[in-house]
Amino acid sequence: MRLSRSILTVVLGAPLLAVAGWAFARALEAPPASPDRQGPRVTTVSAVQRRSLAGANEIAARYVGAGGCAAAACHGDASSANSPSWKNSYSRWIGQRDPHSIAYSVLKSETSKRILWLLDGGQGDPQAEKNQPWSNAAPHRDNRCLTCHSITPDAHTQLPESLLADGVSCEGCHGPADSWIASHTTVGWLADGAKRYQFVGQGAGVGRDNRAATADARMRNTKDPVSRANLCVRCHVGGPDRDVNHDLIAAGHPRLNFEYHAFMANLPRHWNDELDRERLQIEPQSTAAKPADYEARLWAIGQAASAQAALQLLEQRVNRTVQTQPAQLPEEIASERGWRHGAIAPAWPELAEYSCYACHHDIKGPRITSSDPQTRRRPLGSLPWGTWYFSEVQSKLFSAEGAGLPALGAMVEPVRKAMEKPVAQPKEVAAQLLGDGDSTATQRSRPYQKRVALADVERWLAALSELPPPESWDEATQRYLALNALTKSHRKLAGQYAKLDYGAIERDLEEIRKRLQFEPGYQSPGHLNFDGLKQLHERLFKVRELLQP
Amino acid sequence: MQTNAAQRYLWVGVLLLPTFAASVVGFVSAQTSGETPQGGNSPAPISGPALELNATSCPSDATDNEHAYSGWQNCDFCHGRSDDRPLEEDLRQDILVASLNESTIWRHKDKHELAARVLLPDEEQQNLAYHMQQALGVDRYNELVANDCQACHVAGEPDIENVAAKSGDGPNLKHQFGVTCEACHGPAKDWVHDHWEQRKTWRYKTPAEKADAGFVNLRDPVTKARKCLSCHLGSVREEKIVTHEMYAAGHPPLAGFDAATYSLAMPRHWTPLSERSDEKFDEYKQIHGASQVHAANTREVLLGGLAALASNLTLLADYAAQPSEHSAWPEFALYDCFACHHDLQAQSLRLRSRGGRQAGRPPLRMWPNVVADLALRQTEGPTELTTVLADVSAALAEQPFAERDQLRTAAGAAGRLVCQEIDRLADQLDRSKLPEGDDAKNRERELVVRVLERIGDVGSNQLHDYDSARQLVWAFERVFDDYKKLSSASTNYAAVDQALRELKAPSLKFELISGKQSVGEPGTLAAFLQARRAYDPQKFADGFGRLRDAMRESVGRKADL
Repeated sequence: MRLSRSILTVVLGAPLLAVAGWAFARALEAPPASPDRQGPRVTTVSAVQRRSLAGANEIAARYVGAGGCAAAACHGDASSANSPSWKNSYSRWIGQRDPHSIAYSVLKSETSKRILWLLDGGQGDPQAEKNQPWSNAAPHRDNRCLTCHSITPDAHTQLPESLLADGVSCEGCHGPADSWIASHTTVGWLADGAKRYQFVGQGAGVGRDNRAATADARMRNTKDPVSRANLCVRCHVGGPDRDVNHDLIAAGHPRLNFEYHAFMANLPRHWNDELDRERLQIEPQSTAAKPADYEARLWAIGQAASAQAALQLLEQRVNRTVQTQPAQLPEEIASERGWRHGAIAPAWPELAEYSCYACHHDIKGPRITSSDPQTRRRPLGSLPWGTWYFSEVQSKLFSAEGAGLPALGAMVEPVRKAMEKPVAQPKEVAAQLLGDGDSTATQRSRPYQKRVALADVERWLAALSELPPPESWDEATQRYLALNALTKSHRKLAGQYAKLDYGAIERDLEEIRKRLQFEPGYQSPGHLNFDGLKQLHERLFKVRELLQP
Repeated sequence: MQTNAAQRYLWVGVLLLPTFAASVVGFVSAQTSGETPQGGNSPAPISGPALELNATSCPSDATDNEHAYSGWQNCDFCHGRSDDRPLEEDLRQDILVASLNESTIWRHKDKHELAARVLLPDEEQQNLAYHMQQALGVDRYNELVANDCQACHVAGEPDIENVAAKSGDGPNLKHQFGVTCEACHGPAKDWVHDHWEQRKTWRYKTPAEKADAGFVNLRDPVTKARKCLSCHLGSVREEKIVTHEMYAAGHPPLAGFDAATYSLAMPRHWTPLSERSDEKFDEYKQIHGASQVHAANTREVLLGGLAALASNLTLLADYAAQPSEHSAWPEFALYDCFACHHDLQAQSLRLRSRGGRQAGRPPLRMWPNVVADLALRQTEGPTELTTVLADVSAALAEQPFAERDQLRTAAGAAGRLVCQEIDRLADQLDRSKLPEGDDAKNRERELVVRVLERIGDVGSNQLHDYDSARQLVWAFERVFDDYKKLSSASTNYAAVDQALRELKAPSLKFELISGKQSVGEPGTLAAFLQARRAYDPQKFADGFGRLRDAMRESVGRKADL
């Protein structure tokens, strides 16, 4: 327990502040913090925007707000800890200070205001901190922030404050409730079981066909681990209207480092897995209170779902850049490229695609890298891409020989090659994302749906031990997180035949965690020098040795 | 620290060209409207019409290639006398400015002489070239040496046989003698004969006439600064560019450059005309624009500062103008290395006080701005300059690494305007325009004190990056030397010297390495990088405040001046 609680701190403090997205409906945006240096703002509402406003109102009407769920007779029963879990799910959610419940209120902090102010160009006198030139910034009214920090579904929809105030409240995950809030209280609801729920696919309800989403007519399936992962990654990895890009990070927003298993382990529970399984007959093959493969499976699902979401985000970033080359822009749009105040920033190269610490480290003098220049993966002076979502762990395990995991590696490598050119060309990257033209890499990647067996876990652990020593914090941390999840499942899957000293393994993992951990926020893992990483690998390898029969 | 230093948290603000532009905007608007300088809020179009200017001082395309090299050995034939051999009497009568040991000093003491050989990997010594070759791979390393590195590291190839160093697997060099006489003084094929055999006439030719033959007038501070900067900062026209690939392989960062200070650190093989009092130099001095005697350093510092800004803008514009098939964009090497390359810090000054710039967009290198800013205050430059500098800022903010076409236009226009300012400043500082006698001396002294005041203000009221801090200390030292020359011998400078010593803590390595020790030796480079990390901008600003106070005390100025 101590271990799992501490995982969160490893993941860079990113989870507590969720993601922001980009808005392009300029009529909806908050007033700028200071006089616009670039000239008067365009405030006319185009025909397209008017249409989207009309659509936005319809979408807003589909939300009932957390107040609609929190009645004492419904999900807000705080009278007894012995009540069935569904009766007090809201009370638990709010009582345990689920991070999602404060997602909106953090937008009113000085930190959030300064982030938005810096994002929009930081005009005013930065010397006089007491003047707080960011005091007029209004992230709590800015859809670039609200698409993740509230239940706001997209950049166009403006919800009243009453719907926003509870942060990422019930409907943020379970879906807009207007169409099912009545029926889900009926006896028939339970009888229909899982059929009542809308499985959330990758990218469903996100992005291009966002507005046409009939997907949200039913309650979203948050019980199925794949469906739920696809929900989480919308904000925690990002998407079209939800883009934590380098501008936003440089302004002060934490980098996103999502790992499904670790995040789930840290989320305060307002549900009861066992009861849900009984009532809804989800995963009927599992009879344990928590399936033995729970951690390993969550890890595998998370790797695949995150990778898919990250590819989709990249696709969106590339398209935005390719489509907004100045020469191709109509005059009227070009003149509106004042993205400093709320519109989308076509930014290429998008530095958030690359490893933070590849650039952000003090230069300490010449050293010979361990890698042979003949076999080096990328050209000298280029930036390492996708070190978190497409780590070496993933290339190794999610490959053709990857023990039944989807072969993401082969799909990602051409993209990586295009991204790791000394200067990545957006059109070239776009071509690689499209692949053979039938479907995009995103569409061709499939989530991992299968159950995990002991043999699978052991094969994955064996494959992990074949990797060369990690050369970056991202890589080392992904390995730690994989080991953490896999060894937990190993213990449960092995059951009574387990002969290993899991206590020793846990102590080793804790030691590794301490070495990887650094102050959340904006620190660099400066203490992790090259030799330190090698030693770390030794420790990782030792864990693997312990698992040998 | 919070309260008394709040107004100093410009750290990144001063690191940033936009802020610099804004300060110029503010300054000029103050000059024109009489208001207090205020940065940032002046309207500035994203892109104005390109300003086509006939800037006389702007360097045209490189002309070096039009003249052939003669080879340093030809220079050494006369200029290579050993130090302990005095000039014969007839020679002493015959020559004017030379001491004839110039080549000797260069050969024995000057690290420019090493520039070619540092490109040769040494497996045993594990020199920097060895590290770079390991990182790049032998083929790529040799390819770069053959095609790119020698633009700076090796002066042009003389048509003398057997000078090329071709050794086994090693890279091919044009020759092993590095940055030779002709690298700076100009390819000599067309003037080496005349400058001796026809010395009576050559000597009194104008610098322009000599330039036609390929001779570079290094007596002129702007020409000299440009010559140095073509390598020490870079020049697309002369194909002298350190790319990000080279840096990633281990090339040391190109540090801030001040021609006046670097010249001082260089083993001196010349005598400044200001130190020549003999009458026979008068006509020569007149011709070479060396009539400025007392405030020579101030002139060199301010003009050199503007030249650095102009070179940086030209470099940027030229790079952005290259056809895209031939050059990568962005080229990370054009930006401030340490804008990205720093450990992240939770309570970073960068994050806490950044303003006036789109977050996430790397700035250009900062040091060329800081002294140029002082110079522009002196010239009270035109309002167009503030507009075009703001255009450069806007172009830089448009994409993470700037909108290329927009940057080309803006940086080109700004570069040309800065060149015009160089001419204006040179004219302003020309001592021949001043009345003779004590009055002239007093006016020069006033100028020097005014510049010292400005350096003191800029150094203590704002936070600076490492390179800019060095520029300011150097500028202060050079200008203060002028002040000493212009003041009575009884003046006491002990407090100023003490404040300077404190500011230049040895751990900061503000002192340049003279002689043949190369900054590229792995140990030296690591120590230099360590010094950058040890640098504390707040501490520096506080120290500069003490220096300014000591200076005011010394020159008898009131603090409220």
